Amino acid sequence: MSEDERQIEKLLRAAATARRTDAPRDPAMPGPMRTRLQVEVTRVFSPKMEAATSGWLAAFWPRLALAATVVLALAVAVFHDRAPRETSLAQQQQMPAPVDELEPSPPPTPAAKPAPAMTPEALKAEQPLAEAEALGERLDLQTRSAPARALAGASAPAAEVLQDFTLELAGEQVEITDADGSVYRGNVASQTRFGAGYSDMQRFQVREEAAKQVTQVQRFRSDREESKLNADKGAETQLAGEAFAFRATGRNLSLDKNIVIEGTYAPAATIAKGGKDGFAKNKRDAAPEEDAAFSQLRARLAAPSSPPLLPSRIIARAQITNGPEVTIDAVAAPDSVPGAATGPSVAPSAPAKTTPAPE
Amino acid sequence: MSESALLSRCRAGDADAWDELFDQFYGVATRFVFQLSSDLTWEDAEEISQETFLSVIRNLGAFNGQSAFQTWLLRIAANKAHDHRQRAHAAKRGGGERPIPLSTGEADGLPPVDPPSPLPGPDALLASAETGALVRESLDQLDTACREIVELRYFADLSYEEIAASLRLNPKTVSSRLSRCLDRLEAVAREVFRREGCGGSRV
Repeated sequence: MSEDERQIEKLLRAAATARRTDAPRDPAMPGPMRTRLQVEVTRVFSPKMEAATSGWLAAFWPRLALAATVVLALAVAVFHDRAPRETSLAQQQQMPAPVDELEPSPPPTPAAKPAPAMTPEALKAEQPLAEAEALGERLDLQTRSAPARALAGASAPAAEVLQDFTLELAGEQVEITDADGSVYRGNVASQTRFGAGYSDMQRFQVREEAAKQVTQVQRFRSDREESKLNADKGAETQLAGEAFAFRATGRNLSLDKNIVIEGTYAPAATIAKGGKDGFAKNKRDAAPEEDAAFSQLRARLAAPSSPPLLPSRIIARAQITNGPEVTIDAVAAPDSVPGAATGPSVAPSAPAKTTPAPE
Repeated sequence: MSESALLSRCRAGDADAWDELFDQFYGVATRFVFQLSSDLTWEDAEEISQETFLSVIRNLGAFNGQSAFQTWLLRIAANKAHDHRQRAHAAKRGGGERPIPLSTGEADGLPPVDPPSPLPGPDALLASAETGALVRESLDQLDTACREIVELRYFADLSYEEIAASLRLNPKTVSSRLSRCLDRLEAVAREVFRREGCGGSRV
């Protein structure tokens, strides 16, 4: 306090001093207050790391949520991409494998019409375009993946299974005779031949599988047609028969193991004029106004005068008990009994050549 | 242990460090609050001091160390005391005195209720205390900036440098601002003393 201090300053100091003397000299913090403050210390500082983490989460949770959603969507997409493949493979325990490709070969004799199956018209009426597109994609996936698995897991003896065999169809009975004399018997499986033991879902699956087969055949021919028609623009394309699925079982004598064969028979096909703009085009890609032309073309091409240029074909899977799964992709051999491989209802026995499954 | 080391331990949540901090500064803070106004009881000062330390605990991260911790603490205490007095005055204006239960609690074995007297305490009956109350009343009529710098200078006994560090001002600025604030306080106090019949010439 200096001499030249103002009066108001003196009053301020006097007031402070007066109160200061009234206060306890060395006050100690009361216990309850200390406890209360320590509780607050614990509340504020103990969960420091947790609070920091939650703060970080709070700041970034929208981005994390978005990222998680994207990852989840990708996972679902991958799952859906694989699920049909797995489901289809599972279904093939009861259902035929799809036809994905027809190799050109010397023309066999045209076949007679087999029992009713999925005709292009019927399929056209039942399958919408979008559905066909989706089915076509799934089929493409499974036909590419299955041979790779079969080849990877097949042993040398297993590879001999159904290398050269004959297919015989009597009514709905299928009999396959392998080169080593093994016989596998079974039935044709199509939507019109399912008995009461099949559920609606199985019927639906069969129809879907049949649709995929035809779709795949037609699509493939349409794709291959580009190069073929470039070389021979006057050619025509048409299916000469009806595809059907089958399932047969039997014991392979060479391996001494049971085998379950599930596959699809695709009849011989011909090259027809105007195919590129007509039937060669995926019929589900065609506009409604093309129906009439499509029917006329089909009727014309179904005539016996149209020589088949694409051989009958069998694509199947043979599951060897306690062994690998073998994919069979066989076309009718040139020296096969005429009509045997192209018209199941005609010949009692039809030799077929088994080719290695395409990658 | 240095003040910065102690504060570092406190920031880490060290309970012992906090206890040490309480022991070191509780008396300073409470005595400072108590001398700010004659209408504050020691219990009030303790309550205000508790609020002050709670605020310190919650806001220690905001203390950047530019001033001494004690200066920062006393600024908080001054603001808390001001808020407390504002609430008390508002309660009085609204007649909002704390209700006292009629039950003495003796039936429950509790000691009888000893309500605080609304009358001034013995110290307030003294002339110096009366003068102090008038000074306090005059201070309360200043704006916050002036009241704060006056309290820090004359009740907390802080130097210009300490006040400058606390308020982030130049010491010369503190000196000039304090001078202007004293001018205002002088004018207000003169009026207050004259109104109370104590003679404005005392200021």
